[in-house]
Amino acid sequence: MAHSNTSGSYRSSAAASLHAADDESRLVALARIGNRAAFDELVRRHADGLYAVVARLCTNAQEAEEVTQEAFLRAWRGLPAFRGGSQFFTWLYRIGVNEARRRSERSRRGALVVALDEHRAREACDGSMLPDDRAEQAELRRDVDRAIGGLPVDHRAALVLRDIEGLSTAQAAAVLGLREAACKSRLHRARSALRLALADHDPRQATS
Amino acid sequence: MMPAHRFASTRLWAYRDGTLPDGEARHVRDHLAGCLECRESLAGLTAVAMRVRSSKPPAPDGLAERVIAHLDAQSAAARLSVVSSAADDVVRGRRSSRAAVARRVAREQLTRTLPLAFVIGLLVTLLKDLGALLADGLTLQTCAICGANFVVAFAVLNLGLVLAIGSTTLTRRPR
Repeated sequence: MAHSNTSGSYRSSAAASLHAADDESRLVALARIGNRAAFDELVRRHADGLYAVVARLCTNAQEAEEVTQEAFLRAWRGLPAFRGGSQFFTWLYRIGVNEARRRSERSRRGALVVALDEHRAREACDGSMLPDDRAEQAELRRDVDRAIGGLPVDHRAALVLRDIEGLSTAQAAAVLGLREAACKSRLHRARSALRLALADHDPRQATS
Repeated sequence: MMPAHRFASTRLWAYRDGTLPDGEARHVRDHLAGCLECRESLAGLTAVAMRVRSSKPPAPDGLAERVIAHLDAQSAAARLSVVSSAADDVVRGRRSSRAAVARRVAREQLTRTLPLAFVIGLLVTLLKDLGALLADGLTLQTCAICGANFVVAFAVLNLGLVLAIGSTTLTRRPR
């Protein structure tokens, strides 16, 4: 019975995701012929995800928002040329990542920790944690932010797409315009660097 | 019995990501069951992955609506730019057509006034300076007199035409 329930819920969630994909391709098709309402719906669906990706590649929160806006603007203008060979969101993320990289090359990294502190300030308002836990959590997050911020942009992008946004390796490789093997290699380097950087929080990580 | 080797971290990551082929994944799983060191290693990887995953920066409130507003503003600016560039083209077109008309008028004026000025200059010379021309022949002085008559005739003719065109333009109703 439990099995049939699990199977039933799996089927309904698979059907929902198929429906969502179908719905999304319909929205993309409408947006391609200039339907702004359809494109606005795509913006509502993907703005937060795109922001989460580019925020890790930009120097501050304002720049991350500008990159998000610019990516959507370019997507809107370039949509008639979008062949639909890839998913809409991987195409959109690719535009966003390229824009963030372009700006990053211009300004070089350095202010990333400051940038993420702006985000963390918003999170600090969470009153459900004890002050000690909150402080410990904040320190750990700062160290994670610093460790991620210390990675080369390309390695960081692979890590963000795969381990934060949860894309498959194939999707992350498509966003970065890489072969899967190259994407895996960058991802592995990023993960190894993070393990070393975060070894203080868990000594067993440095030894393995 | 504890196995003597450990898996490379790339293989453990692949196992954790679920990207190993079935047979290899089963092999790793069997190995992990009897190897504390590899289990700890895998736990370490999982801890890093969890920390990275939970470090996702939150998007600012109202981001999507601001993006939509930005798209609206850019579309409006693009429309305005199309209208303004079309207006620029019209003005530029008018300016260039005015300049072309002025050049054509000047060219026509020159081609018409030059022979007329020559004829008038010759007539004035015959009437006024024929005696001196016959007496002295074709000297530098008589040539200068003929030339001066021609230049004066040309200047007077053109001045008259310019004044006539100017007054016509001034009295024309603006479009």
